[in-house]
Amino acid sequence: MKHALLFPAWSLMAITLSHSASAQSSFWTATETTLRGSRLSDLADTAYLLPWDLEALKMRETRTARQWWTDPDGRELTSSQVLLSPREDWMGSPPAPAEQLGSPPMRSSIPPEGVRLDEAMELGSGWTLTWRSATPQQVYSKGDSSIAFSWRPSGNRWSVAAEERIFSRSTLNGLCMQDWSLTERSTLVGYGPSGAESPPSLSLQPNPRGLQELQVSLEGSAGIWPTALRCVDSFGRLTAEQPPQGTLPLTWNPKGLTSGRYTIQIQLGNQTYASSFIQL
Amino acid sequence: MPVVLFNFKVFLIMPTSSPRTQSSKPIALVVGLIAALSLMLSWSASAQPCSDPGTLPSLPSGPIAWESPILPAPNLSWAGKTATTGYRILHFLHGLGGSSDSWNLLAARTAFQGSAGYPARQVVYLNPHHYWQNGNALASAMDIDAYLSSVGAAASAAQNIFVEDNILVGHSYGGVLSLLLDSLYQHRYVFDRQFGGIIAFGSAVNGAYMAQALHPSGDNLAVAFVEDACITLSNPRLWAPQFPAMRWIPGLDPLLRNAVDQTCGLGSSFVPFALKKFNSPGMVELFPNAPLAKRLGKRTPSVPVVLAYGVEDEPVFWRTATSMLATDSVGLALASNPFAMDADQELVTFASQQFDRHESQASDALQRAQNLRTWAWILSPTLVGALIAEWQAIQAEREAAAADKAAAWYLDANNSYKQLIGARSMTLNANGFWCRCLDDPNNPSWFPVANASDCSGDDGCITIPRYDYALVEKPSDGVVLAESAGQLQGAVASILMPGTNHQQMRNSSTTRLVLNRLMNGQVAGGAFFATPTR
Repeated sequence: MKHALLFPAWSLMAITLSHSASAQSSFWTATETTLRGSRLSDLADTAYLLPWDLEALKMRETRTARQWWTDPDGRELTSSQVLLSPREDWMGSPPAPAEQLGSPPMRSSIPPEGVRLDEAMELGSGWTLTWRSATPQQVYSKGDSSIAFSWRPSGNRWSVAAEERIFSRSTLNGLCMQDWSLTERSTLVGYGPSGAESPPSLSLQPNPRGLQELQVSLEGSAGIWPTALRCVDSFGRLTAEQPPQGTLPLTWNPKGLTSGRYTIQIQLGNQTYASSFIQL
Repeated sequence: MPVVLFNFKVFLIMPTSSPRTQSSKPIALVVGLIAALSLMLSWSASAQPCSDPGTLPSLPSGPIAWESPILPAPNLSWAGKTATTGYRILHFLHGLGGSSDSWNLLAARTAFQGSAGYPARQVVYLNPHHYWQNGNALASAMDIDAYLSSVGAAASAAQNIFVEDNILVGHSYGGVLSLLLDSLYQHRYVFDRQFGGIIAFGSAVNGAYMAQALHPSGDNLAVAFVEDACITLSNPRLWAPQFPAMRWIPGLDPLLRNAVDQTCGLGSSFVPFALKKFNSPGMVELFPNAPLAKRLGKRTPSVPVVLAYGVEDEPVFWRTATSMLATDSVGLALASNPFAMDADQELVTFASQQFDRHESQASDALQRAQNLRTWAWILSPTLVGALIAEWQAIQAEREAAAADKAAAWYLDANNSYKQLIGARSMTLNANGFWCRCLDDPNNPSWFPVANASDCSGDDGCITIPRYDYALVEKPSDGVVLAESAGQLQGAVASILMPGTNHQQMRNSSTTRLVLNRLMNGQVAGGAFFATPTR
């Protein structure tokens, strides 16, 4: 009996260890845009809504740049930087991003092995999980509430493209409403443990450069914020640096450069991307 | 005498029973000694005065001289705690839910000592009157008139003050009642006018939208506002990871307190502010369409009236709530400086932090759900383990939804509250749907359609109801709109108090500025209010 109970635990541990052992450096980044608000189940006269339900009908948009990476200990971490916040002016600036454990929403195959398509699996308390075939979707549902993840091909993997959440509720005066949110995620850029899948490429314009501003962009990474921007000469010496000035693409005008070859370095999380240009 | 007899009896028997008493001399000596002692004792007893009152000496007879009691001079010092002298009396009137201590610190400093930047004036101090608020506005006004006609008039007479030199200084409802009194004093055969000018701070002379929104006879939304907050903020899914900061407001109105207890549960209440007496009968007459509110604002007063009205900075709700809490707590700062209520940032910071905390909680929970779904995918060969991980992911999603809603509450509470007080009017009209199709992931765009069925695509589409909304915002002090507190036909002046909320305007540095200007005679048309310093 004891062995019967321990068997799944050994199996689980074996899977965990193998997953841990295979953990290698990886870095992924994407921009997430979330629309959030309440909505009425049906179009209705809003005159009957209470003030706070009326306010909740407004759609609020949040945009964040999110990164996932593997640290030297093999842990998968994530952090997000708010690019557009629904905060009111009186709330001041948002807090600094914090790291937490987290793996990127990527899979090598969709759906998982052994799962039947278009068949609801009971999860308890009335919630079911269905993998849909028409659109690659993973849908949790219970009554009028649902959580749906839409998957799309991303290189030789699959990644979550959109997350839609609907939670039904009734207002204090008996109207039916839904708390709704939709998160759309840009294509994940980065590389995984099995090698580069969509390696980011740093682009500098113009090159060669005179006195003009440099246009710094990372292919496929518009909206991502760099944590540092540096300019080093051909000997690797730091000649100019500036703190983060916003999201990519950026313009920068490093001054006082003598003629020669320089390298611009961009730091994204624990990743450094570099590209060279000629200073005339 | 019985003692003597007893003694004799004892000693008469003893000689016959003792074999040693052969001689009669010692016996006679002892008997004689005892007899002598007995006689001396009996004389001593009869010599007490109470034993024979007739033997006491009589008192000398004659007229009794009564001395007059030393009474204070008839300056009516009994009417107040102090008896300062002066040329006029400032009668301070509190607002709804207030009491004598709403104004007493300021009244005391005005009559004596002053404070930094605020010289004392030559005014007589009287305890600010606490009028009853359990009736309608007329009942409260009659209460105030009774006070003015008795205590106020007597104190004026004692100081040789003409009552029409006196001023009513009213806050909120107190200012409204001052104007009502002014109209009552038109009935000269019934009333004797007891004041000659009015300073009204934040008084809804044109009605208060908030009164109608909150009162049980109106829209009755005060309880609903609190209930909604309780439902949202006391969600157990929020509490599990971290017990939220709680605040309990002792001065909460009993009706609201009941709602809090019913909805949030005893001992676990969060209420952002206290609304005292919000359901008093007098509030009904402040409904914007109530006869009193409609007439009072249109009536030209018989005496000089100065209106001081506040316009609070955003977020109006959290700043007003901060000041309400500060007023209800121990006002240590006010004890030394009656104009120390400028700070109103505390709950603004609190609300921002709570928003960030719940946003962070939602983000963490969603990432946790994502991690669990990854595990479910890894564990897919062992179906039971996968389903357990999927179920835990649902729980994390629910926590994220609860945290999202709590964050939205902190974000929207200010705007919701402004709707309650009439400072924000939002009208939404449904106008079709926004459509977004998943087959276009790299070029996301929303386009309007008339019907949800018009939104279709190969890979499925999402529709959002589309609303056109009109938004109108009005300045307010957090309780009363500026347009109601700052407009009165015939008022000699309307003074804006910027960055000042309804509670602050009694005790802020702006209040000091307004009163100084008024009593310095620096307000155009307000010469009546000029009052010399001590």
